[in-house]
Amino acid sequence: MSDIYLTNRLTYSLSLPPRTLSSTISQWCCRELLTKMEHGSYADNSNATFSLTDEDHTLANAVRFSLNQDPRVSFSGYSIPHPSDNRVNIRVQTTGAPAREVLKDACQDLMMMCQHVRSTLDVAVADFKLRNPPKKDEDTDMK
Amino acid sequence: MAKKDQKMSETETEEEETEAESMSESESGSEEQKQESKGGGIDYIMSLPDVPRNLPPHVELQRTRVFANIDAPTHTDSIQYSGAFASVGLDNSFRLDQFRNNFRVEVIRFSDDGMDMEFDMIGIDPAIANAFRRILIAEVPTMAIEKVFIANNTSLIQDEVLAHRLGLIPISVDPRLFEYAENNAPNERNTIVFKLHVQCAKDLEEEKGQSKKKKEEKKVPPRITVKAKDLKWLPKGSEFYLESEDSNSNSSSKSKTYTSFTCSQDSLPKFSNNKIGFKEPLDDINIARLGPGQEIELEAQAVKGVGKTHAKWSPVATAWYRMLPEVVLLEEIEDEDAETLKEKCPVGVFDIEDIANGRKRLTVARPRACTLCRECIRGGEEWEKRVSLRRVKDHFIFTIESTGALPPEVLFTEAVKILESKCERVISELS
Repeated sequence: MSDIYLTNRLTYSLSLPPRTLSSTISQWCCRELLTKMEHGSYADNSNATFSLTDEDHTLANAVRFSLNQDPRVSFSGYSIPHPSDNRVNIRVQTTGAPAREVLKDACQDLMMMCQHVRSTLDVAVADFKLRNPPKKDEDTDMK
Repeated sequence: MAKKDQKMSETETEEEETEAESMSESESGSEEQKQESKGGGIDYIMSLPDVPRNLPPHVELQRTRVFANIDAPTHTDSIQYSGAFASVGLDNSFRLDQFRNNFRVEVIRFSDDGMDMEFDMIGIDPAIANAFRRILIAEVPTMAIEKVFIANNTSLIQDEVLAHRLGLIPISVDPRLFEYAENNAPNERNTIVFKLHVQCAKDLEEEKGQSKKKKEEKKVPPRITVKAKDLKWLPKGSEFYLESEDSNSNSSSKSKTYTSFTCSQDSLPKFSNNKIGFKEPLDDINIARLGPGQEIELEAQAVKGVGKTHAKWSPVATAWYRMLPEVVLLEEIEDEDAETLKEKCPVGVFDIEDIANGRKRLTVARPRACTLCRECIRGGEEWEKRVSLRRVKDHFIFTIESTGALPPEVLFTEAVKILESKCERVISELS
């Protein structure tokens, strides 16, 4: 009776909704660390590479910025091993602190910055709308 | 906090000792020291008199500005490394309180319909500003037509082209009210169903029993332009029956359709007083043109998705930023030179003001309009020495053009939240 046409490739092949993300962490095995995103050694935990799946420049570059601003970090950088892999490797070398903790702190810093950006923007927008009331209220307010 | 307090008291006692030692110092100077040393070890070190407070002016300029020279831009990098200025005794590490003090947002304009927005973000690194931009384009979800069930299409436009066109129409509905469909069957929580049934009158039919007026017009065969507003929302779900069900049971049981809605969407409180559809200017989008007797009958299912899967899910037409241009006159430019330079600039950055004795002087009136075309520094070395074109590295003029699903400020907030959730995910995976 009817033909079915997909307007593009199937959605679930590429876009992963947040709920399934936790299971997508790298399954590489490296030394003793299995099913972890961290690749390093037990002897020296100040250097490690973290392999994040389903991430790209968006997060990696922001985290690299945050890492580089941490005085405990002696080197940090990221690479995308292959453009068709949804994976990014973040390298962290520290002056002694565990790389894992430093990366966590970097993410924490980034989150705090985000929260501040969000609240600052909200205030700025509210302030602007107060000064310039919109001509058509119903257009700008989505319920 | 307790630790910090302890530290503070330690530094204070240390300072008293040093004060006692260096009695020769002026009193006001040591008082200053005391005030600034509050807050811990680093602050104390920073307050010592031989520790430089700031970078030398020329280095500071290179750190904060991109120079648009006649041949190429210079000092384009942003210095991120915490120890970048260690050799001159300066700390470049990130401090949240410093960021909080410096960061500013200034809203410049909203368009009349509230869907375009321009704002300045000041005091943030490009790595983060770019993350926001990328998320806005590729990772903030919206609803878009994904599956099209075509019952009849006798128009000139092919089924697959028609389906593609339908997918690109922006739907004015808040995507936060829906779930991702994933592999679930389409239900009232993850799918919006639209119906499109249009038919263009046949030439012959019109000819038969029409009035004289119509007969005169018959030379022009009927044409229909199918618009986005012809798509009708089906809150109860699909009206097409599955074929297998159709043949087996004629009227005994209720036949199954292509969706499995448990209730009508317009009975849900979130949709009861705002119907899903296409907003005012967007409902005028052309879908197809029909000739005499042509017909399109179809159902379209819209689902939630993100722009990195397909651009139809991108919530913005564009989201971009540029760094604030800075135009600096390195010397006073007067009279004829002023006129020449004002004429040179195609976007009218410069203005001329009258000074005493009928003389004229050049001023930089609208630096924001500067496109850094560098027309003003062309035409010889003397011009390069007069004007310096720069960009401020941490000042971003952000523009968001929403496609109508959500207003731009909400989109930006959502983008920031997505970056937060990415960080949260990494933290939770590492813990």
